[in-house]
Amino acid sequence: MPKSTGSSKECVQSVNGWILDLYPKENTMVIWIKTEKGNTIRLLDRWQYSIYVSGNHSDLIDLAKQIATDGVALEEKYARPEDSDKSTVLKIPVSNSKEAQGLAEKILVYGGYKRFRLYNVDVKPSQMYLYEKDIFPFAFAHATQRPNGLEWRLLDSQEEVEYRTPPLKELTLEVKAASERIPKFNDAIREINIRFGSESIRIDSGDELDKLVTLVKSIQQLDPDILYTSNGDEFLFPYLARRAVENEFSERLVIGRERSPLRVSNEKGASYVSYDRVHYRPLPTRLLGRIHIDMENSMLYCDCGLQGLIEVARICRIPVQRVSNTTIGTSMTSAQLYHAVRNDILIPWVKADPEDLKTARELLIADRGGFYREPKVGIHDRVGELDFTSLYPMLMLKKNLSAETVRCKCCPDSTERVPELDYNICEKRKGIVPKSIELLLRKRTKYKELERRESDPSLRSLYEKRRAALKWILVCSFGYLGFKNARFGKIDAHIATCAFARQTLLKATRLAEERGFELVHGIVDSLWLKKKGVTESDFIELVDEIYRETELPISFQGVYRWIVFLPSETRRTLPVLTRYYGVFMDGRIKARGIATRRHDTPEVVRKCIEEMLTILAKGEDSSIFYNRVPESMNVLKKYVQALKSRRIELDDLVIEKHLSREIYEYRHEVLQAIAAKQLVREKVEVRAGQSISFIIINSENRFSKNRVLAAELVDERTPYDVDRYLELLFSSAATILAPFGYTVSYLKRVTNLL
Amino acid sequence: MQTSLLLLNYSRADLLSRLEGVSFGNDVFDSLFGKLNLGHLVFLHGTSHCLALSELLCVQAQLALTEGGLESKAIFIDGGNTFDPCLIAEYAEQLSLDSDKVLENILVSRAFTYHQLTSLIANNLKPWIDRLNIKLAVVSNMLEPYCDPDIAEKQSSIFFKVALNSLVSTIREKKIVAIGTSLDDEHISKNSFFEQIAYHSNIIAKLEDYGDATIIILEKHLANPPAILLNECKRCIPVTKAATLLS
Repeated sequence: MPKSTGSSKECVQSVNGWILDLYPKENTMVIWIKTEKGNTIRLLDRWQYSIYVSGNHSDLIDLAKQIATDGVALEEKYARPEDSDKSTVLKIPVSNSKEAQGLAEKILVYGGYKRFRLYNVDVKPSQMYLYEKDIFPFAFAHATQRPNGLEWRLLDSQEEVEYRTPPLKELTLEVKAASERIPKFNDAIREINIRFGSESIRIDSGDELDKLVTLVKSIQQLDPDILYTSNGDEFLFPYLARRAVENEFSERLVIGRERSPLRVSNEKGASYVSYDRVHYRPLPTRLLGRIHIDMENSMLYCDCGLQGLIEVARICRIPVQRVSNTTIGTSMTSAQLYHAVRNDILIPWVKADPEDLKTARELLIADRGGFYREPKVGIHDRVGELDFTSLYPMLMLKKNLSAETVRCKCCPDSTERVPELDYNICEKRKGIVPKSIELLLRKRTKYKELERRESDPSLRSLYEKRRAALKWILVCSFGYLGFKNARFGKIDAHIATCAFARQTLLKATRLAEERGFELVHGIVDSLWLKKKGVTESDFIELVDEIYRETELPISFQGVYRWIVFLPSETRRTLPVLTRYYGVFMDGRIKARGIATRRHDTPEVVRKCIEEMLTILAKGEDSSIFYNRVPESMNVLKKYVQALKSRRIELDDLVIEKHLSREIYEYRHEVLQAIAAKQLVREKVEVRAGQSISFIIINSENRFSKNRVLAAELVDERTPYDVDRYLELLFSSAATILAPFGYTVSYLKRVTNLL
Repeated sequence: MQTSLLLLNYSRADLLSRLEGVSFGNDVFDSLFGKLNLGHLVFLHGTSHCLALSELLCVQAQLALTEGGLESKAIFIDGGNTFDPCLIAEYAEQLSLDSDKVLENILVSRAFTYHQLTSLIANNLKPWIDRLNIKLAVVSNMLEPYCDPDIAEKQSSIFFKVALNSLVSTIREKKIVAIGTSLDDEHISKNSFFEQIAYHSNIIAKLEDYGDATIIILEKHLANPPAILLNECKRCIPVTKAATLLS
């Protein structure tokens, strides 16, 4: 086992290093610094954050007398982002988030829910510290201990794209329970594996207590900065905490850098709705001084890796630990909160400002969403795809679209107007939302450029991950303008952004049509165009002209040899938005909305459709495409035979579906609910928003419980419902061939199933 | 609350001449409800036809007094993002009105959180009524934002009380007709919001789907009790969609 480099908790006068982690503790902020030599240093800064109250002056004085604690003072701040002048507000220092929340509720009651408005109540203290000190996580900085607290000097910049990251010690923790199938909290620990670099430690000897003791010792000696787990939030850490209780070891189960042990929490994770879909987030486990990344529950980590998390943490000023286990919207909001704090704008506790009053006629015009033109169903040759780059965030930035700038009170006669609606846009100040996305857009462009120029694959991958992370934040920034709980969002700004986007796409379409192009399909920020005898340079010229006219970056994705736009599955004469597949001139296949892209498609179906598409992609144009269809049928026949003769691996039959509600709320016996109930019977906790994996074993069985089997309960003897899987296969194949008259029954006939 | 199925014996003409308020412009509804009086709160709950009825009233309110209207614009506070301008335009056309003008005379504000809804009712409604001389206000999906499972019940109860008390005082002080709607009967049965709103409402009606028809169950009707004979009977009044009734 390697020797510990040791974390230092000694008092230092000054230090250079990266800000690794930070959290509040008893009126101080604890900051962990990683030095260039790889040492970890714990710093303390006496710091208290405050909540603010606005209201009538005499009411505030009265409230100040009632509270009568040290530090309560009147200050001048902007109570609303749209205010032109600062207001007098009451500042009340608090020692922790819990106290802030409790006090805020009492103040509301005291004011009869009408007299006071509260601010900065639920902003995480660690984030507020970063905003106030104007520093950011993973920044290289110089900290000096002064009598009145820490003094920070940044030796780094958020603008930097080729920044250094600290030498991090990363470790992966895996714990196996004694049970063979579904691990439960009351199973004893069978084995613990710790992997670091190319080495690993296996803890499987002695009794359970010995294993726990060895685990704690190993963690202390290895002293990792980052600890990866699979399902650490949902199972691994809660399980360890419970096993520690069982072995009377709970006071010594210390995994973080502080002496505080892991506790059994009775709190549950949360189900939440995003874009009409229910998601589930387990309660995160915080390892003070270290960063815990639950690889199963961190979407951003899965997509962009550690480098993506660090990029978001730096740019949004939010600790990496929080970036990894919270929504992208929370990270994006943090960037907005920073700009609010730096500009003396208070952060409302609740968003109570409603939509501006508008006439029903105005609403009819305003509430129309983005641009779309239905696709022309069927196959099209030589279609070019044009995409505006980050269109919505770009418009928000260029047109200054933010809650406080659209229909502002200070510039009713502004020359900046929203098309179709004639709303005025503020000319006097830049909105918080544009301010917060400006750097993101700039850096994303820089990363794109670096990625294009870089020849080293590892560096190219690094830039790609950082760029992808920024893209997620930008995607979210538009949605948050209209999100009900967004602090600096407002539906009017959302509506205005859509109006500008529609205008932009219409302008681009007009320019294309003037050059003789035909619009085959258009949606949100993309156009598919064709023209007889078109060349790539025709498209490039068009892109240049659109850029000149709109001043918005637009990219040419390429020319498709052919592209197929698909109809509705239920009404074959109706087109469907974003359901297509096609092949670019360089052979790349692009597909949207078909089985290969759906998360609930079993592997067997995905593989079959992918193979069919690969064969079809060999066609240079539509005429050759048609000739390839019989060959693609052979693929289908191959999979049909494999299913019928039960030669498909069980793993390839697993279907994963989301629980859109709690199990008891399901009124019909849908397959995922049946599988979820099986897990509940096995004492597994199942919540709305979780994904449930299962295999269909007998979909027609009169007893619903026998129709499917949860994937966790499957073994090699598990049978599967051949007919049901064949149906899924035929249905997916019929979808991609629908414009050419192929139906499920026809496909069954040609594969000799009818 | 005891549910009674009521049939009014008075003819539509009688009611129109006696009461100052807005009518539905439809014999079935008018004979059931009578005119909806100024200063009264009407609460409709059940199916989405509640919304259709409330939108219909926004059109009716713009008619002349002699036609059962209020010669007034209407305010629609939308607590569920359910307001449908297309339906309004359809009603207007059925009444041979200029749909653009009708749409111009309905002022809408959407609330996406219970805080916003409370703020609209408690802070904005009264000034808007004064400024625009409004006689009809609709608060759609009035209970739903307060029934969000993510909100602490105590918190939402307090804010609901603030909103309801403000609404009631505005109705009485400004002498307007207010229509509240809720489509969430599941939550109605779970908390005390319904009892509170029932206490303040002059009329409460529940709309239920019954095959292709909709049944209106009048649960409370206190408007001018001496003038309206409330004959309890065992019959429901089946109606089809409000839009169809207009034709």
